[in-house]
Order: sequence, then structure tokens, then C-alpha cells
Amino acid sequence: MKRKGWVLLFGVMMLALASGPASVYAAEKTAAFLDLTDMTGAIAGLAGQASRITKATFDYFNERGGIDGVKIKYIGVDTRYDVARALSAYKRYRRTPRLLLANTIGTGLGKAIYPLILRDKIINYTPGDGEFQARLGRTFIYSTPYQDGFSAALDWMKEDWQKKGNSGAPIVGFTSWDNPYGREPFRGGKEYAAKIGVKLLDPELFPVGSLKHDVWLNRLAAKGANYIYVCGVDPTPTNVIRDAYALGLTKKIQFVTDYWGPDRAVGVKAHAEALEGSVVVSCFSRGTDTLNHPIMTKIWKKYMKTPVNEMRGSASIGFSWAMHFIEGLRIALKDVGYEKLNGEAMYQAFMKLKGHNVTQGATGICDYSPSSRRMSRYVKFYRIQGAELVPITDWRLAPDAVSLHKF
Amino acid sequence: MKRNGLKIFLLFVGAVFLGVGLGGCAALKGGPPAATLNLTPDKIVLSPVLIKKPVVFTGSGFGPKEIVVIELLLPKGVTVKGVPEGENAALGNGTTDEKGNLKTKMGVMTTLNTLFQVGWTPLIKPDFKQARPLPPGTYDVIATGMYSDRVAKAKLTILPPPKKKK
Repeated sequence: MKRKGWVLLFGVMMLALASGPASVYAAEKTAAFLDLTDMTGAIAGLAGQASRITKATFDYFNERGGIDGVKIKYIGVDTRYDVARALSAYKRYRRTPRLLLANTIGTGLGKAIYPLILRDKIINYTPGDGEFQARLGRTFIYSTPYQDGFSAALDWMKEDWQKKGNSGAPIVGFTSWDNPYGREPFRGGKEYAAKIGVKLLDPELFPVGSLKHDVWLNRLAAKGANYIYVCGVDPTPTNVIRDAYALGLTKKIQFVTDYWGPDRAVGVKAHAEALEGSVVVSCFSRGTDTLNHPIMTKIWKKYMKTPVNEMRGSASIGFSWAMHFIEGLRIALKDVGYEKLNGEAMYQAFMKLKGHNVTQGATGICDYSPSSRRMSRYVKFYRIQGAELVPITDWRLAPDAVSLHKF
Repeated sequence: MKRNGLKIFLLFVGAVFLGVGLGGCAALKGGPPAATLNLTPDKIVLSPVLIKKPVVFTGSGFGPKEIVVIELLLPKGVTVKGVPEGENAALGNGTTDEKGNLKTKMGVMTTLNTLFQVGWTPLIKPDFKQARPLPPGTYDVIATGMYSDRVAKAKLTILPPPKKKK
């Protein structure tokens, strides 16, 4: 009897050990989002801020019960914009149950991790390099490709030129960082300029971290530029236009920047006078549009603990990362259910997002499909007026410049 | 008798475990040689020279065409900006050739962010005024094959800066 009692006790203990952790796991259904971001490094001002909103957006939905009962596990890693750190973090977290997506915030970082994304059959986000549209894979561009955005800006410049009573097409200058990102708009954008008859000057590229930009600006002005397209992450474009203002160039040349141009809480705050009248083309809502977005403002108020008027342009980027993941997760759960939820299901779900209004105005209509890795084909134009970014167009379809270039 | 039976049973179980364990050992099976890792130089002084002449990693015994991640094991009390306690600090990455050999070097970002732990200005320039260089000492370094899970080990010594001549 005594012996039987011990055996029974042992059996009960083993059962408790075996069933205990399992029941804890069973209680909460989760899907993971790995954010290989930059919190303290070179582009922390943009990526880190965006990531804070991504996490806050997931917190907001998790507190409301998650997505069809599935909570999103946000794993944020400070890679300091270093490929080695991103890979080390990926090694650490790649076995996380139901890891569906890795947000690789830089093109180089995304390319380095891609063989593992393929191997692990998940998907990744990357910025606007058109190559990922030209060669369809598991990498989803989280913006409109840079060359498409640049080409939309060329269309706008031509329209603006003619609206001002000029005939023909303007002469357009281009200045940017001297790196792959800085050169990307030309891979297709150059071909598009030729197609619409815009004279595009040779690009003036400058090193990342340049303090003054007079040399490059003077060269473009001397060649007769009517418009200058400026790239770089703010405050770089702000500082380029600040220098142009000091040289008196903003009086005769219209400056237009790309998506990462003057931010209402960074460059615009510091140099409102110099930036007055400059135009920003963006695939993410900016300025007053962002301040009036119902969910983003609600999330900002609750989680960021600073006044809404301090909301940065990067808010809509982080919100977009989260909302596209949520919408994809919703479809994947509907298609395969929680038990079969994996990276492959998310990949298939992302390709069904075309036509969805995922962000309710923070971005244009989604374009992800079997033949598209563009987050959206739409961009919007904003003008800096009275220290704020004010929309001057609705969402506009950007030309397909990617297809004009041989990758 | 009963006691002897139990002993025999335990010995049998032990023998099975030993057999399975040794059977899994690649060296005994004539499997691939252990992975190796070498750092050149393996003793460094933290100075801007490392940006122009970075540490080079060479290795062998990994899988063919495999991504390899090289990491510094942080001893207790040593922290690296952005790396949570208990985790490794990345030093490099590379892809092996068809024979599983590795040759890569420490990237500029890693040299700045991990060895020097610099800050960054809004204009995306490294800020050495905010730098907190890794303290001198000998650190363990591991290289892991991301497909094969093969691990190689090495050491990296950070020497104290030379004393300034008066």
C-alpha cells in the first residue's frame, strides 16, 4: 500500500509538471513581430521613433483582445543600424513560436538576412529599394519604391511648371546622400524623366554627415535647375534647404524632398522660415493629416505620454508597419487558423492585401499582391506653410518607374 | 536477487545513453572536423586605426555557403549600448565558401557601435565625445553557422591604451 501511494504521488507530480507549462502556453495565443530597428544608432531619430509607435499600436490592439483572440508579441531589438547586430538578434529570436515577420529597417540589413528569411519561410519589410519589386520574393517594401515616388514628383513639377504659365518641361536637379539609398531614385526615375520630357541634371551626391551643401547647390543652380529634389533623412534635407535659403536659391528654385524630408518635430521646428514653401512627397501621411488621424492620435495620447502636437512624421511609418502586419495576420488566421499559422501563411496573406484600406489614411490603398511588393502605389504632396506640413494634393497614383529600369 | 536485477537494469540504461551520446559525436562517426575561428589581430588597442584596418575573421569547418555570425560573450559587469544583459554583442558576419571556409572583417558600424560604443549626432556622424570603449581584457568570441549550428571559439584581447609620453 505504502509503495503504491508513492507511485501514485509520483505519477500525479509528473502529470502536473507535464500539463502545467502547456496549459499556460495554451492560455495565450500569440504571433510574433521581430523589429530589427535602431533605437540609439545612426538613424534612431527616424526608425526608433517609428518603432515606438509600432509597439504602441500592438499594445492598443492587444489590450482589446488581440486579433481574433491572438495577441501580437512585439520583439524590439536595437541593432544600432549594424548588419552584424541584426543577424545576431535574428539568430537569437528566429525560433520564437509563430514568428511571422522581421522588420529589417535598412536595405543592406534586409539583403543580409534574406537567405535566412527564405530558409525560415517568413517574410520581411524593407525600405523603398525598387529591386524588391523587380525581383519578387518574400521581402515586402514598406513604402512606395523610391523611383516611383521620385517620378510622381517629376509629374507634379511639370504640372506646377505649366500652371505657373511656363511652356514645356522644367529642368530638374537632384541632390542626395552618396550611398545606395541616395542613388536609388535614379534607377527608373531617370528613364521616367526622359519619357515625360523633363531635363534631369546629373545627380549631385554628397557624403552622409555633410555640414554644408553650398558646393552641390551652386552647381545645380549654375546648370539652370528650376526644381531640386532633395533626399536624405531629416535633418539632412532641412539643412540642404537651409543652405539654399542662405544662398538665396529658394526664391527662384522650388525645392521638393522625398518621404524622409523635413519633419514637423525636427527640421520644420528648427528652420521654419527657410523651409517655407518647400514641398514634400510622401507615401506616409504627414503634418496636419497625421495630427487629425483618429486612431494614431488616440494611440499617441495613451502610450507616448507627450502632447499630440509633438507627433513626428515617423508616427505614420510605425503605425503602417503595425497595421499591415495586423491586416495580414487577420487574413492568415481566417485562411489557416491558429494551429497552422506560420510564416508561409503570412506570406500568402500579405499577397491578398491589394485594395485594402489598411491604415485608414495614414498611407494610400495597399498594393501587396502576387505581382507587387509595393506597400502602396500612392503618394501625397505636402507644402510647408507656417511651420506645418499641409496637404496640397490627395493621394495620387505614382508612375511605375521600377519597370523602366533593368535591375 | 531483486537488487542485482535493478543494478543490471541501471547499467543497461547507462550504457544505452553512453552509446547514443557517443554515436552522435561527429568526430567518432568520421563527420566534419570541428569548426575553427581565428582573429587577426587577436590583440588590439582601441584606436581609430581599427576603422581603416579592421579585425579580420577567418574560419573553417562550417557548412557550405552558410551565413556565420560572430559574437563577443560579454562578461558580467561589461555592458554594450543596445545589448540587453546576458546577451552577446555581435562582432561580424559573413558567408562561407563552398568548402565551409570563412573570411570576413569587422564592419565599420560594429567597430564604432560595439568596440567604441559611440553616440551619433543628428547629422549621422559618430560622436566620439559620447564614446564608452569596451574595457581592456580578454574576451571569448564565438562564431555560429546559421544553418549547421556549428560553433567555433576564439579569444579577443583588448589591450590598455599606451601610456602617453610626458
